[in-house]
Amino acid sequence: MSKPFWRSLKIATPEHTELELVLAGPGNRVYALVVDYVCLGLALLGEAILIYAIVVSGFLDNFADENGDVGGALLWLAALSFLTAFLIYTGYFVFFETLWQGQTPGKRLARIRVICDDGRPVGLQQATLRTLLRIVDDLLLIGAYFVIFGKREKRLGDFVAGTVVIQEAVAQTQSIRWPPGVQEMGQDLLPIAGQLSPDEFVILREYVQRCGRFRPAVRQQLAQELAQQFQERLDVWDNGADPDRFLHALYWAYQQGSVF
Amino acid sequence: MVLRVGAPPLNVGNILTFSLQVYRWHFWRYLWLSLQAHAWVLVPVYGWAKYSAMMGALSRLVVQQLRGVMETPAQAITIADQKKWGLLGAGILYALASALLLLVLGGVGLLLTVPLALWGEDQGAWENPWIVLGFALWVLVVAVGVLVAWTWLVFRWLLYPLPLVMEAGVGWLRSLPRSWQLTQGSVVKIQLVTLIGGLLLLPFQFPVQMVMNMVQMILLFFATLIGTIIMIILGAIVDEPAVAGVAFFVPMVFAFLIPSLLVGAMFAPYWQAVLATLYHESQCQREGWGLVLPSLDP
Repeated sequence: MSKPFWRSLKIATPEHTELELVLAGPGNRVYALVVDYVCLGLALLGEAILIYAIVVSGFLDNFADENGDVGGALLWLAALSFLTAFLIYTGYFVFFETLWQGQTPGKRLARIRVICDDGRPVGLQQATLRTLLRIVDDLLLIGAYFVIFGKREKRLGDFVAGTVVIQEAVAQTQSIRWPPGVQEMGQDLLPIAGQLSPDEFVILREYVQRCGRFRPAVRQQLAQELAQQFQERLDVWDNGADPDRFLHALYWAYQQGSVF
Repeated sequence: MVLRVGAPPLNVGNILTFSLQVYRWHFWRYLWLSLQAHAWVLVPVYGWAKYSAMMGALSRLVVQQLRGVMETPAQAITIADQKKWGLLGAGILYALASALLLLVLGGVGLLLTVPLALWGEDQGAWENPWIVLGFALWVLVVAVGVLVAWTWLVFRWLLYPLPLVMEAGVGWLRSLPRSWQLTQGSVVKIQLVTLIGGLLLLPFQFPVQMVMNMVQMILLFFATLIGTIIMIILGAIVDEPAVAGVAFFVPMVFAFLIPSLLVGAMFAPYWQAVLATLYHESQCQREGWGLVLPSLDP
């Protein structure tokens, strides 16, 4: 009766295979939005400072009318600054989502991506539609209700543009720090490492990848317990060996075995 | 709904999505627990310990949910209730430490800005708009810096209720250092989770606040009515206007207190779920929780 943790989306491809993609989730959507709005805020702040500088510097005096009045020029400047602000706001999302295939700096940080309903990457058209409706979605929090309660987490912009936001698959590329002497020990374990079941290997891999972040005391104890379990399972008894090194050696040996 | 060993670490967004999701699935169950807890707040000292225990029970339920352990609310409450004084003690310690740190860091912030402002006043520097702008930016930087520094320290102890309700042999004095241990290297994550988690509640805050405003109006109406009656009766008995005046305000206090407690009760399970998820995540990442070979026994 366990419910799936993440809401997912199944897409039928023309090759008749089904793709299962994990939806971004409200948490990631808000995370990305906050980061993007901070970036946008900084850009708009930059624009405001620039406008302020233009006003204070007296640059507008060049555009004064015959009475020396800069009111008209100020009006032009205000209109121009509003236009620029609008262009920054819309341009930011359209530019990044088109250029980075559905990602903005915020979405990149939250590891999410906009794609079309059929799984293709979004183009200029979809990005523009999403962005134009963003004002409605964000200002009145309408989009938030749609994302939280909707089955496919689509806000108005997503409905109109025909897009969904999904999580990116996380590639586990953590570098492993091998303790000294692993290979020599691993050579001895080569014949038996293949006996590990996939489930057991997952545990071993998790240990090897994560142990660098453990506290020393925790690492020592966990290594001892795990090494003992593995030794019982594989029926090897190597009492003198450092348990941490044993686990790394076993991992190394399993990998060698799976390569050949 | 169990997070399996081998799953990638939960990022900020996924911690929040999970917390929201888990509250949604058990909405009435968690809300009922939370309402009971907040009702206890009205009872001094003993009630506060009970409140801490029930909040602890809520987060324990979420951790067990993440670990795939079946536990009923009653079981969780029984366990947490044994630690109620420890939870209250640790909570007081946490509040005191946070307040002290805020005083110290706030003082540093004032030292960094006020003398500069006074010196600028002397020099007549405020005539120059650029200096005003620069100073405003400096104040902003200092304020944000103080806030970040404060949360940097305070959030290291944030998980203190969890070791108390989850781990054997952790008392109220041990729970804060234990939280410090667990949160090493994940302060930025906790800061982001708190900030963004608050923003995620915005869509819920508006309707809840609206309903509560109505509740408050109704309560205020009755409080005035009851207060007036009590005042008249008391005034007739004791003939002391001051006593009668105080009696008038007692129902008023409740009229303000109860809606804010209800709002608190509404959102507390979500925050307890956030705490629980952070705790579970730290245990997985920092202490290799769950790294045990699957049992061979059928």
